[in-house]
Amino acid sequence: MTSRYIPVIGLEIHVQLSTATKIFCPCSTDYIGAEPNTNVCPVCLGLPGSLPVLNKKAVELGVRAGLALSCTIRNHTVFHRKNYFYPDLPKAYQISQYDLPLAEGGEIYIPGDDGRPRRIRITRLHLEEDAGKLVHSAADGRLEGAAFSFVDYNRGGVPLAEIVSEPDITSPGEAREYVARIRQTVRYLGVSDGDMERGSLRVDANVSVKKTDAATGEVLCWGERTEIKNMNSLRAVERALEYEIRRQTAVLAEGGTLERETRHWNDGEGVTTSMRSKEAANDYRYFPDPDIPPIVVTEELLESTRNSLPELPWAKERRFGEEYGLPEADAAFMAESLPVALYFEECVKSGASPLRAANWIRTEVFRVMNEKGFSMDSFPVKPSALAELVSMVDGGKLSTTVAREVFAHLAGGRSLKDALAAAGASPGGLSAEDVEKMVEKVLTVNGDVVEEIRSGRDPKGKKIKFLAGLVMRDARGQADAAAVSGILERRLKEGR
Amino acid sequence: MELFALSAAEMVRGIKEKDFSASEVFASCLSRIEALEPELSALLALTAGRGREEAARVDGMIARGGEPGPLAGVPVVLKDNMCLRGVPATCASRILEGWIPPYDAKAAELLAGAGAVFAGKANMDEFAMGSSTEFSAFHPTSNPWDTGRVPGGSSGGSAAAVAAGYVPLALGSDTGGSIRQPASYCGLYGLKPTYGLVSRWGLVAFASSLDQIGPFARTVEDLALLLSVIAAPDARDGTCSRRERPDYTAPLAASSLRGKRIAVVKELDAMRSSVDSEVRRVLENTLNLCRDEGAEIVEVSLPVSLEFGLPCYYILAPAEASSNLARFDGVRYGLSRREDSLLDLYFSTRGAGFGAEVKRRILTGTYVLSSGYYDAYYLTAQKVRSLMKAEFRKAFGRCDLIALPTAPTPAFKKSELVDDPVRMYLADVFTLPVNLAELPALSLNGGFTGGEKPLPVGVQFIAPQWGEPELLNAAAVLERRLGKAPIAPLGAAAEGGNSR
Amino acid sequence: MTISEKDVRHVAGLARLRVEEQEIEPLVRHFEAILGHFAALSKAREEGRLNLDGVDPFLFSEREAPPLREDEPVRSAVRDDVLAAAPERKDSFFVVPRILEEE
Repeated sequence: MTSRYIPVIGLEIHVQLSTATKIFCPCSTDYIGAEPNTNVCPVCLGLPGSLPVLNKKAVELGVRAGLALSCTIRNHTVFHRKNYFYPDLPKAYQISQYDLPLAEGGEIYIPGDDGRPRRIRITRLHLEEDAGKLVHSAADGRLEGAAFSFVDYNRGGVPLAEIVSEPDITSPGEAREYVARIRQTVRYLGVSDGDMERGSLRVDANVSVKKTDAATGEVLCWGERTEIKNMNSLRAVERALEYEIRRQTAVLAEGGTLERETRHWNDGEGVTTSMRSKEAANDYRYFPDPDIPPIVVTEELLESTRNSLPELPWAKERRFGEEYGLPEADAAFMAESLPVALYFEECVKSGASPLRAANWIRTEVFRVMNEKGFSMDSFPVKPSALAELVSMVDGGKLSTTVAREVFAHLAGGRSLKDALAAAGASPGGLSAEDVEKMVEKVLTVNGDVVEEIRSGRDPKGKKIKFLAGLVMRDARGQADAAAVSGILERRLKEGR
Repeated sequence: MELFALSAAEMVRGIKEKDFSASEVFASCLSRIEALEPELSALLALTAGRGREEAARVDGMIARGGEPGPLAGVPVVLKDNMCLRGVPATCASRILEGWIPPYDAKAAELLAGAGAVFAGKANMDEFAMGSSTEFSAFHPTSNPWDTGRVPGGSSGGSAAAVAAGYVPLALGSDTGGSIRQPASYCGLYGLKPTYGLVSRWGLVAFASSLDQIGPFARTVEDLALLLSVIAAPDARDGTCSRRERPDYTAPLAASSLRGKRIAVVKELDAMRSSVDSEVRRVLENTLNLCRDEGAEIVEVSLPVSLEFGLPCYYILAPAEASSNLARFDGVRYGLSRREDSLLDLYFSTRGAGFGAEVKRRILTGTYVLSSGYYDAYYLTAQKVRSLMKAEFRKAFGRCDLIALPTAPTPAFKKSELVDDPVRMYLADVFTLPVNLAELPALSLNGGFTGGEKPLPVGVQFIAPQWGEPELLNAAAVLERRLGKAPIAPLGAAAEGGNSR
Repeated sequence: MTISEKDVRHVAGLARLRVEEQEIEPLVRHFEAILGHFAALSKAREEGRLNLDGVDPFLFSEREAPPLREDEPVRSAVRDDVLAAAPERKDSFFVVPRILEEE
């Protein structure tokens, strides 16, 4: 009998909500770079006598995210106290949610390893407050060996939404996709800026391995699960899980057992190391916070939130393929972020061909964005201007090369008219009369070549091509190549 | 009469009409305090300088023809678990010794806005846990009626201050009876408002779902005045009701109890042996007065509340307290026993900073919330609490007010119960069901015990939710028969103080 | 519902409360007294005098919903006082001693 070891992965993602103030007090959430302990007040410092009052926007964003993830929103939701001692927790309890969370029972589809969509169930989404930040005195900044630690409560009380998945994820690659999709979703909705580097999106994983009979698929034994922390990028999530699965599989294959523990991902060394079994030792003694009566989520709020939900990325991607005929890669690219999707659709509405517009955005627009450091929102070329340019290329009034030059001028802030002029092209394109005149001019100046063609000394048509090229050059690419060839041939045949 | 002996209402009128100044009133109260404090030890802080300034400000405003507030010039005392910016708030605990709150409690803001003058912070049982003020980490307080006895607790200092004539008004807090029981032991009016009537912003939390700030006074008019000032909505307290508050002075005009149904509690009979005969007599007498004034006396039954209220309270209150007091860890404020490691900092600070009773309650509370015990204890107690609420609601279908003793006995002797905390808990058997049911209740002085040193005996009236007007109505009518609460006669100072 | 010394020590650990050896035994007795009162409750349930079946422990639906706060920043004035009162600080940080792994 051969065994197969199948990973069982569940992910917990914490996102900081995009609110101006903290979850239970009106202190600013703008703590990055602020001097320590400046965005603080009696409430988030947990001073004796202080009381929490819930931020309306935090509830709205939580509901928004919950609905987008197809969750059921509870209409009476309760905050609980999670009691434990740690210096970053000023009340020695975190106000969180326990058995009556804001949202439950949702789902999200991610591309599986085989490319087919996989459904990952979302257990719950709940709101809670963030803890303060600790800085340790050790030279390497780590906790171990530090004689002192320094506490800053600026981050304490920032609103978090915790999104918990069922253990439906079956590979590190899927885990990565799941995190990417959740991140994309919260950004799309304006719920969070979902930045793993800046800590506004944090991932913890629960991973175990089950040993199955390779032939029948019967589960022979379930490995104990471990919690993995400190994965600070998508790549880290994937690598950490790859490592951990290999480690767990190796232990089980040798007939060993695994301990339920928390492990820390060390990105530099590429390994997970054991932390103390913090979870087992902590008895959080959850009870409903008596300072916060249950929150009522009204039908009105649900309705208005549902109505204001933007089309979500995966739906957009599908529609771009169906409605605009975009190939998969282009559809995904255009739907990836909301600002890009909006830009793309504006272009199309202004008359550009979807395929052309997508192409231009993917190549020229992004190139300029990267070079000059623009964001999509601050990009200087309006979608309507790009649409006009793209249509001119499509209609043969401009060659791609010249169009790129025009685009560069547009990105520099010029109007389309000025940009065309700067690139030596004419705004209206060339009329048939203009083209005739240009052909006339070229024929006149190159009389000798004309002679040769007329006397039959251009068997491969190279000389005609040469003349056509001259016309095109003069026309600054605004002439249609086929039209020019046609006119040339006629004139040459006519013997004039 | 000495100025300190006036009621708050009389002080306000006199100051407004320029019969005397706020500064004179404050000076009179200050003399009284200085004369009696060595014997009573009711206060933890005396804010003489600040009080003088505030009194002078009131006088200045009156001189300029400004509109004085409803309590302009009245000296008040706050229990030391309430934040008054710039003045230490210790909660009578070593763990907060020297801590100065950087902000004001809502109640303090409201009092200041009404023109009241702060005279000091009152002694209490540590973190409001106790029924005698003997659990203060600093010193006990004496009952002004018999200095060998306790003033009650946990708001013993506030009660003693008003009973001794330091000030006409004081604020206390009531979680299981901590305003009403001291009011009973000290012969005063004490009111625990409906849960959610008064903001808890700036009240150091003991048990968040039970705590309420409330007034002490010697007259019903004063009680209503003070209640009117502090009973206001507050967006900073999620449990403070936003409903409109009625005019609490309106019931003062009540002339009789005709049409009112006042209930006695059936189960009290079976408890006769644990209730002092003097207490029973005073209750009986008060009920007779009520009948005289036209009330109908009916009977209600509160079996769950009277039999199981105590164990229910001593599971729930410590549970919430264990969580509320976890923030005292030596990191951000207060006592800090700096040691080598964080863990030692926590253990040492909390071990040294908390007194024995507080430790007992934190430990009990932690236990009943802990894994494996939550359902059996905490959740069960919550269910009992729900039953109690239903029981009271049903009872109020048949009456307007429920009458009970405030405490089973008059003030007990110092040190009598301090070594038997569980026995001391029994002192709250009639008061704590009211907190669990989130209802309002008032204790008034129904009479005195006989003998050489008469001791005050309180009677408690309980009303339905938001029923403060009903309570004030009954108290106003009874005051006409029983008289206002007297200032305790105190030794040599009393003779000098009470002379004309 | 018998409490042992081990239970008391465990709970003291959870509450980060140092209890001296001589305090343990009195605490055990105290626990027993409190929980003994509570035992009366269990007895009453067994005897049918107290029925908790189907009783809602929290009565959430009866509570007035709390006010929600508008998302507008307000600067608090307490910061300087709070830092000045810190038992130990370095610049604008609160300082805590060594956080050992056993936390």
